[in-house]
Amino acid sequence: MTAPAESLRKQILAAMQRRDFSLDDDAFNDLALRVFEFQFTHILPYRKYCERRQVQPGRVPHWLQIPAVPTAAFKEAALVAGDANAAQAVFLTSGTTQGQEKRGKHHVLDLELYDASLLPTFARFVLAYRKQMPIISLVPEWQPGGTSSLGYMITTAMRELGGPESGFAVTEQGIDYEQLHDWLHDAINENTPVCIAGTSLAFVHWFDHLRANNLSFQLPARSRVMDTGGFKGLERSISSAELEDAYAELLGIGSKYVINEYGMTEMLSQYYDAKLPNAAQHAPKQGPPWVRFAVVDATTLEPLPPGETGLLRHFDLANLFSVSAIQTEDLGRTVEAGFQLLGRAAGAPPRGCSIAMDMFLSAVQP
Amino acid sequence: MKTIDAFFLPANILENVTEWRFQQYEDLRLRWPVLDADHIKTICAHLREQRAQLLNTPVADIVAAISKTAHTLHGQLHDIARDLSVVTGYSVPVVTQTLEHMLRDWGAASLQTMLRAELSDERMLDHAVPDPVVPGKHVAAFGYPLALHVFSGNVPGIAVTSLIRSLLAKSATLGKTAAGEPLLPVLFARTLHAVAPHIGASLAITYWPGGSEQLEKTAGAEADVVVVYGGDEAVRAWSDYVQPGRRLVVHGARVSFTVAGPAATREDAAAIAGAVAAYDQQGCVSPHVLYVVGDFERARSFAHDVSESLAELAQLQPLGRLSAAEAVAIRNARTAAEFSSDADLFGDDDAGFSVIAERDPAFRGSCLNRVLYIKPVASADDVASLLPARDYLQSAGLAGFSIDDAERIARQLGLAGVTRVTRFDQLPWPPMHWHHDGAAPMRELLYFQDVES
Repeated sequence: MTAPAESLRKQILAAMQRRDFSLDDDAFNDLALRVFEFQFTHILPYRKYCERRQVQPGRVPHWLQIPAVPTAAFKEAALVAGDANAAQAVFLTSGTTQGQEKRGKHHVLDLELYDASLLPTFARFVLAYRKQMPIISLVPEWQPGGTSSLGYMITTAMRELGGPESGFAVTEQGIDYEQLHDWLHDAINENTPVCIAGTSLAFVHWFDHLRANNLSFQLPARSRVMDTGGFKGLERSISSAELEDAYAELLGIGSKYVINEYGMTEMLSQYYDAKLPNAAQHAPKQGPPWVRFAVVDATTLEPLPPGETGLLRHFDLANLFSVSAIQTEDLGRTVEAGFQLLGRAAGAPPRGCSIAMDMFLSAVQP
Repeated sequence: MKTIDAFFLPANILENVTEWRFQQYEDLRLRWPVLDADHIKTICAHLREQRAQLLNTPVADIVAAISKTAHTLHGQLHDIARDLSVVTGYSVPVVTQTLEHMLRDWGAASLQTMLRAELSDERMLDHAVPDPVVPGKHVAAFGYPLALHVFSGNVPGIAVTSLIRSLLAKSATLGKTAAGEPLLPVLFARTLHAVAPHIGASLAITYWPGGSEQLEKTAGAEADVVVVYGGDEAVRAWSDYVQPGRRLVVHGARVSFTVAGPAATREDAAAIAGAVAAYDQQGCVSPHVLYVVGDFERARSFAHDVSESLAELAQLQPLGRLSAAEAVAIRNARTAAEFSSDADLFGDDDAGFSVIAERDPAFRGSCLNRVLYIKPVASADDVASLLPARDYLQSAGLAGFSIDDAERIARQLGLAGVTRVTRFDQLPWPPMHWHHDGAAPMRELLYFQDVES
């Protein structure tokens, strides 16, 4: 690593380690501009992308003017500031049920930066600074070579923040209900609150199982859920209100303790519902201070005023060795102290009598 | 704020309406009555009565009335295009171009050609005429008493063409408009009624949200023939509502493409740009892909020419309003091309079009809204094997081939399921007499009676 990169990395790590979980706007902007210069210099496809839009380091005063790469780019090129073969992990975006689509790849050169970002964020938003809480995962354990960014995140959080009662209630066949229910009974017997982490879909499947077997739990107070992900392209979907009711009915966990995570494979930092410790109705999504967002117009990509719905764009300092400026397909709007997530702007049906790409993929499948 | 009544219904229906539905578009508001199943039954009974007047009108008079209606609408083109632009999202010049083509299609000459192409002697709609082949035999053609037409999409005019065929068949017709274009069919019906009340009274047009089960069940059960435009899902739903043994005519969503032969020129590139810009590529006759016979370099050079023409058209006929999902789909297509080592992207982010030259010859469905894939093929004879399933194929545009080559390729494409082969510039403008989706759309609305001597 070059000396300037090492110094930049150290400053970002230092910002992540601050106990007050703060980074003022100027300090963030200064780091962002230096990160941009570093990425422009070392990631050739990104450099070309910027040059095509006539943007280069030194010419933009604010991080919002740094060209944001659409997440689709991760499907086509290795966006990595260094040797892609030296990546400590390569995370893949989830495919759709059609399995035809290319999957995005995030080459992570520096897992330490990922850890430094995810741990204090998880501690702040999910555990609300409790020293430790058993974490029960519905997501498989990450092993070296694993491609699930979510798996890595939960595995790391469990190792560092979960304590000895934690575990993965999954086998290769899916959720290990027997194991999961044993652990939950233990928690109830010992009156120890637990954190259950998984995808919304895993919870839905589990709840189907509980209902089919007439089972439910009344978990100890302050037990919580961290769920994530939507139902795009999946066979089973459910509204978030229905899911919230199920958490209360089947686990005894009220909405204050249901923390929805918003993250993506292409980005190492995460946002969470900012509910704890003082629950707010309709809590906004918040992230750590080293990732910033903007809501932009879907067509022009110009930033929109608070309250207007548009696409979310992020700038994540933890993505130092990939691309920090990410343009998503997620709809949101800026609200006080964060943003509201409003779904995905994908799968547009054609307005006329032709067939659009997504429909077409399914149409031509045998 | 201007409010337009986007329905054409018998007056006695409106007396019993207690609730109204509104849809707001910029400074324009459309209004519809909220109907129930009884309303639908009353409308259908009314239409069946009105049909007697239609049966007494010679088809030549119906043609003349429709032609006069088209002429009247042409006189209001400016205002209609403006309102349709607000409602559909297409830019005013795009709507105007589409309307001009459509209004020509609805003129007397075009309608007569269509009737003759399908029926040989259109007077068989009035009375039995001698069969041109079988001596001594006479043939008459009858429309079904009550037709239901269910529209989809937002390309202006397609719905009206469908209503016109139904009127020529002398069927009283209930039209359910599409959310994307609920206006022009109503303007047509209202104008026709002013021109020829005895013909216009056989039409009823309105909108209700697709999937309103009670209304659709009732309408589907009442109709003697049902014509449905739309995707697989809508078609499946409607087919459940049609009475067993009654006719269901389906116009599903389809895709088109083009092939540029060895002699294709800069002018051909300009023509395909026109086909991509026409109604923002939303039609079943809009091209998704241009195959260029030659190597990747030739495909790139064609891509360059097409993009120059699309850039000019972006000024003259701008791309319409996009939803967030459409904007994302375009950005994803562009991003994939820009970051891929096997593709080249033409057109800037804000250019209002994208041309993507791609090495991989596999057919690729475009996300539309002026996004064209250009792919090299070693020989035009390879194209037929690259196409998607025949059920989804519509038209092919050919340019730059010798007559012999064009005939051979047309034959191959026909075997693959392509139902129309044409020039690039004609691609988005199929004539009134075309075999839509490979069928005879007028004949599909009729039953024939043989009178043997």
